[in-house]
Amino acid sequence: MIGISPPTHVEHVMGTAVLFDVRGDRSAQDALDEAVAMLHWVDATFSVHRHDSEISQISMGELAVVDADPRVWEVLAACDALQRGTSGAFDHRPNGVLDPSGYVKGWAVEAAADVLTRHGLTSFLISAGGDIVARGAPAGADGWRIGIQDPTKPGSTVGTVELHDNAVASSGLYERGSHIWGITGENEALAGVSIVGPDLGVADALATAVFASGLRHASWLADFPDYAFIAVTPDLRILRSRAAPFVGA
Amino acid sequence: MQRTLSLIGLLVVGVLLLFNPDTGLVTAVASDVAVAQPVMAEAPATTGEPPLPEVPAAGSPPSTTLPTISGTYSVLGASIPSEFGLFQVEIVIESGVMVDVITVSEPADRRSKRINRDAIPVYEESAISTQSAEFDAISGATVTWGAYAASLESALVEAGL
Repeated sequence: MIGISPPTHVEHVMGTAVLFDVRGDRSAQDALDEAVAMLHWVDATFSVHRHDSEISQISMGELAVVDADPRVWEVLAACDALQRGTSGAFDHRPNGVLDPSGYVKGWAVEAAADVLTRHGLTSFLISAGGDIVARGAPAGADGWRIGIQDPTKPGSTVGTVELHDNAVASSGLYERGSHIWGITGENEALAGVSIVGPDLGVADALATAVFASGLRHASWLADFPDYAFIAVTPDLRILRSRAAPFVGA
Repeated sequence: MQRTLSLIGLLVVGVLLLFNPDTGLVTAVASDVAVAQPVMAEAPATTGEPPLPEVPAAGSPPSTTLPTISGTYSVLGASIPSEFGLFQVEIVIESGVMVDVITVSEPADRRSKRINRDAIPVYEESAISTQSAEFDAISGATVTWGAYAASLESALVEAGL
């Protein structure tokens, strides 16, 4: 295992690289160990790529939801609510197969952040493949400076959001192995969407849903007043909600 | 090419000063003008300004305290695994200012190579011009950029920049 030491710890889990930035807090090792173990539990329980995961067993009819871990029920209930709340643009049963991955990753990172908080850490950032939970702020700063990737050009950003006790998730053309589906030519094409809000699971699901449906067909976003959007068009116009803590490049 | 110039500018004698088990190797190379100006690498985080000469504060963690180094030296960032392979950078510091970022290792698969060919010069230019990783993190980043930034950040923290 490489990269264990503070200030960063990187763990490969849930099909992505999860980076913990605890700013050199050398008392963080126990907290990191517990958070990482929890993420591996999430992977083993929710992975659609493992035949023995509870999600796979539920999908195959071998396990009833009521007999599964209570957290499985919690996740599936949240997915159902998000599916209704987005008029189906977020879909955790694409093609009839149970796949809550679009919500689980963010939900798990929030849970990992709760583990670090319980261990007394007050200032840290966790990034799971570019979907980020931030708590507190780095020393001497008001918040964490998060660059929003230019979806059309690796290595460039279109601007910055500042996070403080909230989260940002992005969906876009750059994603590898993404859970994006339902993109059709009739929608206003977006190159990328970022959602800033209090919960990473919800932000991730909404980013996925807005990117898939296009802003024109995402009027349901008004039902999520705590979540702000920053949308980037292929010609790099920025469309954003007034509440978005965004500063253009 | 800034990298080429700065490399030519160094008389690399490759004196291994310290192996730091936390984040990697710290190697010092003699600069052409070896002024005896001590540089404390664990100086308070400032951006761009050369750290003032001072001795390590009592009680600072020994594992992060670098020896006083004059002239030019380099700090190896942590090796960060990305989905397609390891990413690692090395920064070169001259009189307390980062003058170069060298990509030591990068994922070798064909797709990563194609992306990185365009992207890495942008990363390096951005890092040097801002004297920092500029962002604490990137949302929506390619795995490559995330790993690059993490390695760079670890090197900057280690160098006290």
